[in-house]
Amino acid sequence: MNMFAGTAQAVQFNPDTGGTETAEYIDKNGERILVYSHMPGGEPSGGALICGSFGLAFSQNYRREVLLARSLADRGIAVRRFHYRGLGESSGDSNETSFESMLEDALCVAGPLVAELKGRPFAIMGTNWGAQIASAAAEQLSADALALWDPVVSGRDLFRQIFRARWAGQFSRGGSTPTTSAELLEAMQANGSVDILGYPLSHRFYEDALPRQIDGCPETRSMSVLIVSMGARGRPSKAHVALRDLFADKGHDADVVCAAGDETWWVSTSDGFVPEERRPLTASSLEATLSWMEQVFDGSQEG
Amino acid sequence: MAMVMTNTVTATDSPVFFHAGGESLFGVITHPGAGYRNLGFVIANSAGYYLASGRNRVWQRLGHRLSDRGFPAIRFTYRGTGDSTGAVDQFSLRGSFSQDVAGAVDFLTQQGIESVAVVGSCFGSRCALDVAAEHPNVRAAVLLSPPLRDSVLGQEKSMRVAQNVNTLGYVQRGLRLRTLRAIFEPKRRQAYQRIVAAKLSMIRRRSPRHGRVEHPSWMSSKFLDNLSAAVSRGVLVHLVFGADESSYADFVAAKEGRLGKILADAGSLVTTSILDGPVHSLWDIGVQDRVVAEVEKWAADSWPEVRRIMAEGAFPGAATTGATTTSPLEDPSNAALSRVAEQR
Repeated sequence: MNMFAGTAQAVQFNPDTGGTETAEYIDKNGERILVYSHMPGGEPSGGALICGSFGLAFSQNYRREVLLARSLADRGIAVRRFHYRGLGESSGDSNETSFESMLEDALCVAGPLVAELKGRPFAIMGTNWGAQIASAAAEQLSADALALWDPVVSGRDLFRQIFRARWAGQFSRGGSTPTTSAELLEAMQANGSVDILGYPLSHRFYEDALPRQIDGCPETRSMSVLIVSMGARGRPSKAHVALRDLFADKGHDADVVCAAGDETWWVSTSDGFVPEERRPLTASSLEATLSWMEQVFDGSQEG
Repeated sequence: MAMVMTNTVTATDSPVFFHAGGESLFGVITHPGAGYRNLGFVIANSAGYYLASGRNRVWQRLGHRLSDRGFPAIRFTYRGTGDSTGAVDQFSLRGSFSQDVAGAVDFLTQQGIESVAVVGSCFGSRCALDVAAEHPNVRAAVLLSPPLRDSVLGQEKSMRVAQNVNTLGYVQRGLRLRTLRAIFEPKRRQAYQRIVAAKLSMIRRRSPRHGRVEHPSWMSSKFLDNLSAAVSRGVLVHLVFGADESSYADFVAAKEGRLGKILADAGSLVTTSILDGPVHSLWDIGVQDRVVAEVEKWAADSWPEVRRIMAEGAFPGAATTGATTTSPLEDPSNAALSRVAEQR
């Protein structure tokens, strides 16, 4: 339980750009969400909300999202990032985290930014499972643009990734006989949650997320959509091409690009540490997203 | 780029930015509020981990548990990771990120907390020990699964090959057709170069010109020097290993050499706990819970001893005024903290 309903705030000012980064807690239903605001030096030309993933994928993609936020702020775009309730430095029980609570958090964090923009262009970006949250939030907030980094298209895909991750983790550490997916599900039902590489996966979250599917935002006006497909393939995955087609069918201006790099989100690279800034995957994801966003925002303002 | 920062620290969790070695680091401080104990904890993460809260929020849980017992605690991200500024080329145990840990210690000191215990996990434990050896305000160090070998994140495998294979076996491996073929692959070539460099360094250390070593050739001299320096300053050191991990096997083997002598001379200043399973990387929720409970218990048990040492002013070079202090909550100039105290 929180004894304090927050005004705790940390601000850093960059004298070179005139921009600020603020980290603060905001209240949501008795819990506290940690929110980061990246503000450019002058009046922002637009705004963006970044929705991270959860579990290990939240951490693995974290620095990339920070770098994107800072790059966007340097280009005059106001950005907000946050930790979902039950995850990271926000308060709350991770066993209570659900698709709905994650979406509520995204909408709560985006609200003040959208109001502040007063009609200037607004984009939402989501990574991995965060793409599900970003898509739903884009629909509710009538965003101008949506960028999805390596989106997990369905709940089924998410749990396939997670169960594989657990298996790979067990295998790489030379542990006991790997648990099958069926055994994991049984344990999840019996105990309420299972341990996935040191993170709890609750049965509640499983039941809630399994039927979810990105639906191409049929209920919103046309928006620009960028899908960044990450991996060593050198071409976008079939699932991501199909997702691009789905968005296009619903009347959106959708594109898919490939960011090449030889890493998977569930195991760290074994052949030397490479800082995020120098990873080809990060560099190409940032480059593709920044140039796309500049085009989208310029186009919106001209329109 | 010098950032200008302002922080409003309140009871419970507060995000903060602080300076360390020219960078701006992000952290979260958990403050118990009024009546806090004058021993703060700095929690130093493993290498390359991007959230201050750690895997499955283990450091957030530890911060809260310590705070419940009256100890302020800060967790943070190293330069070039998470929300901190800067870039990092490699996480090397030889050139550790001790400046970042020292920056966090200084930040606690600026908050009116004069005595600090550093808690480090894996790579973080080596940074913590660096700081414990020198920083006048550090009174204690809890080292979780400290690596006793010097290596670089992602290069542990190469180092182990160099350290565990004898010179003859090493030459035999080098002459294998598969090895020779792999020299043409850039990544493999780099790995071989690392192994050769490590092997040459070990051979040099063993040569008569460098004198007879008193510890296994793979043992980090820096670890031993820092442990010795910390103990000679009167710093309490608590070593925690997992029973099923290589660093514990290294610890047992290293006790035969200089490490054993340092431990014997240190007496009750150095304590050791062995937990079930591998502690390294905290891959298991059960292990995370055991680690949190261990540090919390150690903090509670050690507090009287730390307070006694502080009262006696037994730390050479320490800028201590004793165990009691005016709480920032009682300082009328700290409006935010005072407000929180009233609410509690």
